[in-house]
Amino acid sequence: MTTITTAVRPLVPDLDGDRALLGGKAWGIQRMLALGVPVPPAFVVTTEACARHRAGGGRLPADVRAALPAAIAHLEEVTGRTFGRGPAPLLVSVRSGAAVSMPGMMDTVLNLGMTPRAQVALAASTGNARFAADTARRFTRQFEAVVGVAPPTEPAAQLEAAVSAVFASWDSRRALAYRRERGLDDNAGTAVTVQAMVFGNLDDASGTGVLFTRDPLTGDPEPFGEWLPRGQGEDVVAGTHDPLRLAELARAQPAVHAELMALAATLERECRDVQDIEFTVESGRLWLLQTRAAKRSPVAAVRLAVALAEEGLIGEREALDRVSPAQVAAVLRPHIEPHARAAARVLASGRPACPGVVSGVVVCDTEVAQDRADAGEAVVLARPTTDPEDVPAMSAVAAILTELGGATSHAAVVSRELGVPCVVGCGTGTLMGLAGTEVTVDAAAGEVLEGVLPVVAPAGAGDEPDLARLLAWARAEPGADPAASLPDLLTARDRTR
Amino acid sequence: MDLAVLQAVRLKGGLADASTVIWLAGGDEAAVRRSLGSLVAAGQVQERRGRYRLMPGGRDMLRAALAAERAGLDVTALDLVWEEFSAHDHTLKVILRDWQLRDGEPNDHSDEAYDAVVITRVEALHGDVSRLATRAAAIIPRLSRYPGRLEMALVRLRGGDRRFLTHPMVDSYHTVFHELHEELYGATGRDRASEEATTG
Repeated sequence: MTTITTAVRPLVPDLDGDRALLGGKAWGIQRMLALGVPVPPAFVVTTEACARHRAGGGRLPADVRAALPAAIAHLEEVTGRTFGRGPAPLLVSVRSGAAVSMPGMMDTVLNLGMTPRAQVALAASTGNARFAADTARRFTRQFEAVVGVAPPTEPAAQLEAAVSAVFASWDSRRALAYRRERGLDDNAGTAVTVQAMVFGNLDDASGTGVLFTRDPLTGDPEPFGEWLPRGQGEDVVAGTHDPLRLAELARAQPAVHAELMALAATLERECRDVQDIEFTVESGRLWLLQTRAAKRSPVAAVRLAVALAEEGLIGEREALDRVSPAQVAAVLRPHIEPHARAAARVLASGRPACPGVVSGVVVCDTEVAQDRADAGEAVVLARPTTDPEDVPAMSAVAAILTELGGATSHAAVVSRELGVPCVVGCGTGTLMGLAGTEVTVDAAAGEVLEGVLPVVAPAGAGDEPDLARLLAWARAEPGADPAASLPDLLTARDRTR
Repeated sequence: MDLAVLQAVRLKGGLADASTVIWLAGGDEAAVRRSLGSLVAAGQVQERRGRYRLMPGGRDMLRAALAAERAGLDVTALDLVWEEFSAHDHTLKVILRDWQLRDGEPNDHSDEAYDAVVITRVEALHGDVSRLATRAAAIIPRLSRYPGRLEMALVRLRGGDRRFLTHPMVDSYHTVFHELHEELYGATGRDRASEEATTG
């Protein structure tokens, strides 16, 4: 095998390089390999190469271009397939992966290496021409969307263009906005992980899914996930198809389900945190595509930190590290009961303008809204935008929603002044159809949920068992003020850490 | 006179009493009272518990009156005012957000130095806004109240009444600014909702 420069590295169990250099995705793959988890072979183009790509005005550095063929040869060797041609064609996924996860913000190209020859070979080797055509169609559509041109016929040229486009997606508007909102470093860059494809759409014993080792919304200890038979990765994440519950996988393929559960438990134990795992089943064979610490709701963050500490997976100190003052504040604020929230349908979502949780009936006409609110009804006023003549009604209603406008719009400014929960910018055409519907607005989350949902309002940290545990642990720490509140104690810890 | 009265009733969204309408519409008090009386009699404005509210017929009449007014105006000059004013709209909204929120949390106004900096930013903007209001009033005399109202809001804000920057139920800087913006939308024949939809 040819020597591979440091900018392009095959992922192996004992790879050196830190998370900042490899990106979260490659880092996760490498950790899984080290744990003996079945992961399709892959290589990474590092964040260091991304920095040079950006500095070079979006041109792929020469050493990266030179190293790609050898890295692909490595995948061919491990899989016994050949890149872009038969008899068993190798197709790869090209994915972003920053050190700090930015889910859905950057670009991905799947099925790369698809050529007319590969399509013919794939149809022949699988005996499934429809599947081969379907894969080719997905590839062309996604490549055009991400790279902006039709895919070249030469697979090596496809790869260079896709790696370059994924690097460039670090500077896309949505990625910039995401980082700005969260205060993330614009210069960190993304790595690109290139991985052999496995096919969730191959046959009836194939499919794809996501698994959370515990429920990320409620913090319930049961695994929670979705399974899409005959689907491929982005179908679940993009929400374009209706996936099934994991119980369906247990019914259809019990051995695969059992293996998945065992691997999930291993990963959670080894990573010492709740994991969000992407997996694919190809003709009855389980492959794990990635794992990462699961994003979670404030309620789940508190419950999970306490649960993991009580199980001995993490210490009390680490449990406190994993809960932010803002998350505690969110749990202490009146909030929708988590199970009801998880089950409720989201009717609209926008940007939070003034926080608060409130239920009421949606009214779109300002004057009607005011009359009904004056008569004592809980009214949620929904408008395309608001203007001065809406102000009296805005002061009378329980919540305000707008289709247009951002955090500085008239509705946002006025609602904050009035202290009325408000969500702005839900999108044209999203609200007027809700007239007459009973909804619950969670303005801090920017969501409008169907129905009147139960609201929990803890009187203080002592009123909620998990917060009480955290409070006791925080007060027991050396130097802690025994009279301080939990958010204050956590803020003080943040400062000294 | 009807136009000024209808617009005053509309902008206050049903909250205006007779004295507010008289004050906003400006001009001769007796004339305002006569106009208000005839609009109520014709069903274009509804009076309830001493407060006035625009009815659908009044809304149509207002639209027609604005179009008629526009026919006699220097629309190019007015468009220019609208454009410059709209550019300041965003600046003001950002200042107002910083007044209401600090690092995403509500500003509890305990830090006088912070608030003073925000007020300085309003004052820096005010010079331009005031000139634009004066230009608007030169083109449309019934808008002549606006420069003084803006000035007055600033005076009260400087005097320590914090409501006069953003509070929607008093004649705050934001209230006056936004009503003037709305007047400019109407006078130039623009629709705010569709403008916002196209500009995002």
